[in-house]
Amino acid sequence: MTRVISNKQLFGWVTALWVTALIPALTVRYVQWENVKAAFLEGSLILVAVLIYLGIRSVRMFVRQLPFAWLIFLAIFFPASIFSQVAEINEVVFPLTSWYMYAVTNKTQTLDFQEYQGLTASGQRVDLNPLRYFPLLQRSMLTFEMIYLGKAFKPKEEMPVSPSETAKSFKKRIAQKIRVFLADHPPVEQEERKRRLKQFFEVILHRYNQIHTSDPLRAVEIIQGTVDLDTLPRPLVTRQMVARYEVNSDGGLT
Amino acid sequence: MIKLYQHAGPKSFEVFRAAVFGLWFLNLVLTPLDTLAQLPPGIYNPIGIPFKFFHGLSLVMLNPAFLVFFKWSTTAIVFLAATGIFQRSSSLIGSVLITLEQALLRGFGNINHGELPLLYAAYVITVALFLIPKSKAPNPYQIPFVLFLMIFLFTYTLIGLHRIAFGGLEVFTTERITYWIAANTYDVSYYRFGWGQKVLESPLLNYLFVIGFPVITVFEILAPLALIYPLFRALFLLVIYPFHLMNFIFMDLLFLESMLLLILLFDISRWLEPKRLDSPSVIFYDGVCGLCDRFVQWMLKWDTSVVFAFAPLQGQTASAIPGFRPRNPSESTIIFYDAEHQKHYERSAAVVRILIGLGGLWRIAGVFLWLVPLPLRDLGYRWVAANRYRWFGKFEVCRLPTAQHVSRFLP
Repeated sequence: MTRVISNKQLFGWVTALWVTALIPALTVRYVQWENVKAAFLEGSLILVAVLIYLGIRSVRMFVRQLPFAWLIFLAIFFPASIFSQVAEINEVVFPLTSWYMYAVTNKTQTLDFQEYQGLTASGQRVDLNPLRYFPLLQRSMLTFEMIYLGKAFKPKEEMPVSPSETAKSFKKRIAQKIRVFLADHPPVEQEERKRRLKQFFEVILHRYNQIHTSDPLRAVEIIQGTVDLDTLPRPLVTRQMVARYEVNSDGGLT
Repeated sequence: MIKLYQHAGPKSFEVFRAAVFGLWFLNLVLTPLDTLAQLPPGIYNPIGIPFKFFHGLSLVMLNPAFLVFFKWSTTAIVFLAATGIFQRSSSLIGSVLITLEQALLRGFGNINHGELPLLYAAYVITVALFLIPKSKAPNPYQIPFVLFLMIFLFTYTLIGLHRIAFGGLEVFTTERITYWIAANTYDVSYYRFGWGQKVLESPLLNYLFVIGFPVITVFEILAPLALIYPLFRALFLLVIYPFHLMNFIFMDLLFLESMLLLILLFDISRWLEPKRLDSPSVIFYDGVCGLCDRFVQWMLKWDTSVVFAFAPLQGQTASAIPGFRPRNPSESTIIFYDAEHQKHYERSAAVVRILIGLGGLWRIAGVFLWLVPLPLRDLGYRWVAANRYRWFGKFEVCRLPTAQHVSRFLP
């Protein structure tokens, strides 16, 4: 005889599991000084949605009649998913994640982007799309990382202040360490960012020269671009070179 | 109860398992994982709690020789899982290994969310492989399908709710979608179609995107209803497929795995499960041919739903059917007799009908074989039939069925 849980038990368990997931998720967001209010709203909307779906008789009956082992599977997966969604610490919670898309309301009407160009030995200017040279990262946020690293070339006053510079007391330093562990992109010092970006371009240079042996690269440039979206439908685009690396005699970049 | 997949059985589950692990197999083969070793370790960021705590472990895995070994051993195990060999252990180990592979890729910024539902599908299938044999549920094969679709469709709900919680109404009342089109147009992307530029330069297209955005959000939030209401399911697919396509064309973002997994909303079990009739179809075979004997043994293994009965071409049943005369007896290794329509099929047409009748993966193979022009596949059939005695031997008399299968054989 298969054990069937009652409606009361089902709604009770769902709410209990939701609370179990939401409290630590909100704590994580609080530690990260992130938008706790919106996260709480999101968590509440998720509960409302789940309760509405369970309000549909066929869904409720399906869940209630699930064998016990499957219910255990759901009892692990459901709160883990809510925690991952609300806490938004994708690198820690993998293989779970926070699902979002086109959600940020960026107030600015200007858009920053970067382009990477190379100058070959014959004087030709070529597009250096890193994703073309590393196709396994083709659907990647690598470009976000590169833009972050590339911003190191912006003037100092525009740089966000490194949290390690602001964390003075022991308590703050501990909180900072937790924050760095949880953060998807831990903040990196300006010089370190430049060094990492240079390392990355050395790899691209190596890949490019492996493919184009007859006309290798002699320099690599980072172009910082801006699009003024107020000028649509004819967007005003400006481009400025912010860094240039020359290929040295060892085949590296200077 | 939920009606979707209520007729699911072992055959449709087998196709689900083969498709999910088959997609992972292709993914692994096409992924040049060894190139990770060329990337600077400075930009690598460990993903997942084990790697976060044991950073050294991931650095060991980024060794070029290890990456090659890891890629091909994972591919081999996932292949076993796709083909159903040692299915429980290969699916379990395969799921762990693809999780590790994804963690390594994501350490370099790869954030293809489309791959995550495919990963969850592998988890659900693996759990199902352990639970189904012990299950006392009325239809244990429905559970993995519905549960996976619930999880998958709920990810759309989460996207919609996050947008409302964090973006508020402002995300719809202002032209925020235009900002995202611009961001995806100017950012470095793999495809670089440049079609987003057309939207930015066309007020009409831009307007369509702005008004389509809240509509998409509503469908995202309501996505799980596609499990229950057929009309909403049709509407959801009509909206979400073009949305994914537009993301690809105008935003250079491809959610290939999600688009493939949405096929599950067309209840594939209705088509894949074999149809049992009151009077089973009969496979007539050349009783003295070694090849035909092996074919019958193979059929007994795979026809678990007992769709077919067997009879020798030289027997009483064959001679009792009116109008049943093989066109060329020397080429007749097997003839398929469709009891429902009282029609018989010879040569490759018989093979196609038998494969389709078996259901599951064999039905898909049968459809592919059917797509080959008849004269071409008959040519192959005739070649094998002409050489069957030489290659597979000949018996003096028809072999008698074993006691276990005797009920399936007609005289």
